[in-house]
Amino acid sequence: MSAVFSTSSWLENIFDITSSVFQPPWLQAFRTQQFKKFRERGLPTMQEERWKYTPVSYLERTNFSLPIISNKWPKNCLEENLNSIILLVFNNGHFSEEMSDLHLLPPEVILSPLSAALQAHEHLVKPYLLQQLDGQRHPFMYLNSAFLNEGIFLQIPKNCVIPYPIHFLFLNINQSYFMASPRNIIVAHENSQVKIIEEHRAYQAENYFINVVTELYTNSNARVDYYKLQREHLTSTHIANINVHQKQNSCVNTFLVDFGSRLAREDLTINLYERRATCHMKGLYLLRHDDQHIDNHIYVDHAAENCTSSVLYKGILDKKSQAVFNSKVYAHVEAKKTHAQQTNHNLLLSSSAEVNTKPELEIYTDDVTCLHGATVGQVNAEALFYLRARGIEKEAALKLLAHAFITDVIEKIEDSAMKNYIQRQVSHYAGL
Amino acid sequence: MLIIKNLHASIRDEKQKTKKILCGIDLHVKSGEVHAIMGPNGSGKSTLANILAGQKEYEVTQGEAWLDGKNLMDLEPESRAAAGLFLAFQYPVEIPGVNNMYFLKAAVNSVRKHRQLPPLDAMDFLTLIKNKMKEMEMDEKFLSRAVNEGFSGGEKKCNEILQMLMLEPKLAILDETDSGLDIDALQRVAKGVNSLRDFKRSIVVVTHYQRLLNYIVPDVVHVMMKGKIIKSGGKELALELEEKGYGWLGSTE
Repeated sequence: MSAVFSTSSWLENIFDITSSVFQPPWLQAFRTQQFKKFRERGLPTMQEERWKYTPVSYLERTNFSLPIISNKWPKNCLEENLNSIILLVFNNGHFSEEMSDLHLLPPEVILSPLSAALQAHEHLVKPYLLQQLDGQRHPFMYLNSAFLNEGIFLQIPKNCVIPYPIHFLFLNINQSYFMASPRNIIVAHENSQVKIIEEHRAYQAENYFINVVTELYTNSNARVDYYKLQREHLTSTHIANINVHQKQNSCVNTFLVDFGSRLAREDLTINLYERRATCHMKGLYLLRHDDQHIDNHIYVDHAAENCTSSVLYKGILDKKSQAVFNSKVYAHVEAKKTHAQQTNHNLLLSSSAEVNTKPELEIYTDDVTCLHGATVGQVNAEALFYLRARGIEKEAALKLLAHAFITDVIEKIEDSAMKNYIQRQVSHYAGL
Repeated sequence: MLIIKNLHASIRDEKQKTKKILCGIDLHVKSGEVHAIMGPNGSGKSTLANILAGQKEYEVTQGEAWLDGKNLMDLEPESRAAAGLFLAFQYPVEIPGVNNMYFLKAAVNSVRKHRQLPPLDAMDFLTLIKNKMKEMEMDEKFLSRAVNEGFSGGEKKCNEILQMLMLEPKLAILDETDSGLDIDALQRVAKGVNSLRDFKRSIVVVTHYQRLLNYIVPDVVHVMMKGKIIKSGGKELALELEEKGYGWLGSTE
């Protein structure tokens, strides 16, 4: 497989172009090293357990170019946003200062596009960028490191609570067949709090490939709420790695909503390094189209005692779509009194939809409470008949029941503005 | 209003064996009339009610059913509701995640659309439903709960009657609506049903007991056994059944 990719001339070509851009020598060296590693590793194949349902080999046969900023802003692309927020807008992977709005940002917080942060705070950013990501396990992280040029750097100092949500908005506009590799780095220092939503949308852009890596460092007693909304174009590919690093007493809540893309893969990796760290992961995947594929992989590493993790994901699949859900809790010897829970429920609206779900536990310590469960079901025929017998048409009744299936997950969002926003997006774009 | 001719129906069990449940039902309910259908367990009363509402679990093998000149068997369940048929279920299903008010509004406006009436806006709908709930002596907090979820048996039955009042059917079929009701709830349900009673509407009451018929007085009483109507008469027939049971009828077969 690697041999094939190394001869993919498009990839070599665009790497040469990105390498010719002025950058610090250490970064250039790092990227070259990562690119080499990627070529050696190659794309994952369906022979690998973690990728056995997720075909990505078409990526090497597609001639992706580098993204170019579009000067055609779609009308009303910012109208449906959250109110009172701090907004960073990206246009085909490039930061747009004119569309962004940082006026509510507390002055002690560093929030800037990665390229600007590299210039202004190189010493701060460098150690995070040079972190060795596990590209052997997930080669798309090598690829992201090799091509990274833009993204977000956010650092929240000690004791700082940001009252407004921060919206990272990645718009893909009017360009097709490009590859963008955003890298987001979020560092929440002791006792700080922040709510973030990372969103990916498309306007007249097709067949593109987003390979994003988001790194989240949560220090002692910090709390981060991280939401993600993926509504890419239905011909696109979206590969995401979200790596969370948690220290003592920190609390992270993640909420991933995926309904775009032809193929989407979300890898969420949680590292609970220190005791009493807590992470609650929720997610929805809503597939409504033939040949749509959404894959969620979660890995929770319990490395310290008294940590808590919970996973609650629900999926709705229609037509000939396919979803994968895999979550694994790994409890080390040190991870005494681990509490871990994993739940995945799926609703199939069509007989040709397929879901492969597997919650897993690997426990090397005693005194743990670990629960897991998964279900795959269809619409309750009695409930459907009841609604229809009251005059509600079949399509509308199915929609009501599908929405009822996920509504408890949406209801769990604490922030009401965020809840309404996600509810609106789900209603409007996933038709539920 | 409702004309049923020689209706036969069967169901397939888990072993795919066909079991006949209705064996030639003939029934004619005129506008303004209230008919009661009584009979022992397993005689096919509930099956008849469910088939009329469009439950596809049963296979209609022969016969026909007409509501106001419309062949019911040609219609989907939602179109039967729109045409004016309402079944108050024996076991109303709980639907977690679907808000009761949202459901009722969707149902009312869907039926109104079919009847070529403009949809009710939120204010009009709220005024209407609050009035109806007052009639049924129901607490308004039911509106914010999920459909039937966690409702007691009596609350579920009252919710059925509330839906009936909102949808204003031409033909209401009450499938053992009295089962599991205490006397107060029974009277509330009967009051709700009677408020709908007029010369244009028909009501079919499926019941085991004569008790409900003290409150909803029928014009005609039918006795169903083994998938057939074996006897029909006036309201006094119900009293006779209460006294003698069904045995004396069975022996006449």
